[in-house]
Amino acid sequence: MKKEAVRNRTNYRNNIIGWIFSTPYLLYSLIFFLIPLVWAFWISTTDWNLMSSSKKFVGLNNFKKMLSDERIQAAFFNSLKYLIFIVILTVIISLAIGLLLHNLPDKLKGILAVLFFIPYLTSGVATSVIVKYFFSYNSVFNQFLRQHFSLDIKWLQDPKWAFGIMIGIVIWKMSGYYALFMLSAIESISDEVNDACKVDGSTGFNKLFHVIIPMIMPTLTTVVILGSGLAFGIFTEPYLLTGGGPALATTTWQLEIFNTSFVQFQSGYGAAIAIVSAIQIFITIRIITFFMNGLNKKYGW
Amino acid sequence: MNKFLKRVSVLTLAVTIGASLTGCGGQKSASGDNNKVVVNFWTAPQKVQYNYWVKKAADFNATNTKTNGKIIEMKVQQMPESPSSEAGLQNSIATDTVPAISENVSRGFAATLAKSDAIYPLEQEQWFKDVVSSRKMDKSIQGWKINNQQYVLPLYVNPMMFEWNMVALRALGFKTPPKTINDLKEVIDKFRINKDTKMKQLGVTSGFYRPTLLRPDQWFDRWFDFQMEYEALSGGKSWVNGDTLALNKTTANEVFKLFGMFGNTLQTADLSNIWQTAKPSILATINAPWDIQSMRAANKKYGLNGDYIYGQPIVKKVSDIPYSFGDTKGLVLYKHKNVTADQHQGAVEFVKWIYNSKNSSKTDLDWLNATTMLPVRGDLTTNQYFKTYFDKNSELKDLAKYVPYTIPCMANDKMNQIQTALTQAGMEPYIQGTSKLNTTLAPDATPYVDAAFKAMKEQGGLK
Repeated sequence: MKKEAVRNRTNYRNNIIGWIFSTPYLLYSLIFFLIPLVWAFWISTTDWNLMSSSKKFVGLNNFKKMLSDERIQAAFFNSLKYLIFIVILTVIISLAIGLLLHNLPDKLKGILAVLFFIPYLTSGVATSVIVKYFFSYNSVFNQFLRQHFSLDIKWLQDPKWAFGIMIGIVIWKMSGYYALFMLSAIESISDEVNDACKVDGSTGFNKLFHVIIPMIMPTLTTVVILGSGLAFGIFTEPYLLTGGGPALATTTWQLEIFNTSFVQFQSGYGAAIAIVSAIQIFITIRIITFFMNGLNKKYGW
Repeated sequence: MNKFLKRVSVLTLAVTIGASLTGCGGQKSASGDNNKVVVNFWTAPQKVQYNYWVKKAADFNATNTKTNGKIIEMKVQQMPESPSSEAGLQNSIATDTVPAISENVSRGFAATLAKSDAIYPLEQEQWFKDVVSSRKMDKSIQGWKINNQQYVLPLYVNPMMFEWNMVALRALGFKTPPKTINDLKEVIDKFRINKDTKMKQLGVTSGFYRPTLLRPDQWFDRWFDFQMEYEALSGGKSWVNGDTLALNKTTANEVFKLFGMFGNTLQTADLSNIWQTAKPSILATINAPWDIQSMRAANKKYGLNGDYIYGQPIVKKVSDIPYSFGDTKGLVLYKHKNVTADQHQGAVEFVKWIYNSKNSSKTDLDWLNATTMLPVRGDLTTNQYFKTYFDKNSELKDLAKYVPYTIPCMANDKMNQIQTALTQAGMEPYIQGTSKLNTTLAPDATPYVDAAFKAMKEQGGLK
């Protein structure tokens, strides 16, 4: 009886400590996530432009309108295209950089890791301006292509090239950053495992697919999830380079939310788009997490 | 221990809530001093405009002008560009941090603000009539009406013009830039003939640079090309009146064909620093005074014997008035519960002071010196106060002649959708076709104009 009372008291105390430490996060979520979410849903049921003193309740009309809006359809499918290319290419390139750094002498490793990390620190605006100059018709690069290969490519006017350039910028920016995650995971593989590989003659791709990837699966999962989130958040590059064109080939959810809410001043409709995009992100991330959890289980994590 | 835990939890809660809510408070415009009224004035995000208004506010504050027995203090700050100035103003209204007065508002955005009852109508105010009179704006102010009311005091106007490569034009045998459709046809024909000879020697590879003709997302560029030419060819007619699509299909067809005449001499790929290079690779662009400073920095001479010149919008007959689109913005006074009557009156007193009959010429000359953008005045070319300035700045003197013939953008809160639809359904597909043609005989644009007409009605909810 006495023991149970002591245990209850300890549990109660632990609970309180748990609540204390969780309180800042819970309050943060309440103020910056839950309340804005409810507010956004309320706005999405109106025709408000955030400026007018009067607002009309339109029910779910804003959501219905999205079904026939070609810009929204483009944003939906583009987000999946961005997701596939960015996640696959980012994982491959960051893993390659991680492996490259791992095999370098310790003296070089630190310096090169920082060099690969620098693009992550570069502003998206600065990157976009440089890319715009690089691909402009009278750039040195394009003049070289025209003079030596008779290639006259309108990079940002061609839907395929424009989309490829967007992907290229994001991958260039993020791969070095994710490579640090990969490097840290690869370095944590114990010497015993590496020695065992040597003894068993497992090298190269064999070691990569049968030892390294299974051993770094939790980190790989983190990179895949972060990369997926990244694919849904693209804004600066298409905003500055293509405006979402040509023919809506590079538009994104963020760009459509911004244009609808703050250029066309249809904030109610913009809020509805934001909610639908959030639902798509939530479902997609859940599917990817489910898939990655399965892989983790397979490899004993 | 329990007591300790409780204290810690209460403290954590208090600190978290306090930290979270810091910065959520609205911007208090009123000063704590009962003898003073602080009036917030938001300038455009550009530094030159901010510096100009800081100086004007300081001069005004030195006069110790009073309203309701309180001294007015103008407080100037740059409007947030997050990421556009319009979005910054929208955000300020939504978050109750709106200033009493701001510049940098176009007629189109003013229409949205007016529809939202967020700005004051000015038409009936005596001070507004006085400012219009002191700046001789009686004619030009008519083009600023929004639902038969005036909401904006226009500040500056950049008349949109063609910008011609005078070196190339002279090499083709022209002493002046083209004025009529026939003149333009002759220039393009000669350009085609000399493309691989004289033009190649000068490094000129394209007739006309306008990639945004193919960019529906760059909806605002239709002000600078479509509307510029629509005004010139229609005699200054509106193409959207309130919620009515007043577009004349015949004139719209002529505008489409005018740009179609450039055919495959049109450059639709992005170029950088076109005019500042030693040998510009194009014959013409559309421009306004925005790059005068950089042209001077690049040692480019303006004039018929120089490197470049502004040419009027193309008209049908030489005698036609070359109406154009005016890239123009002005001042508005915000109507909001956080803007007190004293602050509103303080803003009015400031405007009255800078633009009264004694100060208005100096105010506008200072503006010209600071920004190289033309003030909206009806007497720019006749007022002796500006003579010395224009004698030294021939580019702006040329542009000033067109100020009375400039028309601002439409007063419709769906301007974005309307101009996007115009490009998407009409201009882009038409130019996609003509930009492959090796002739100045532009094909009929009727099907494209009809499609644009239908799309604009649908997207803009127009009658």
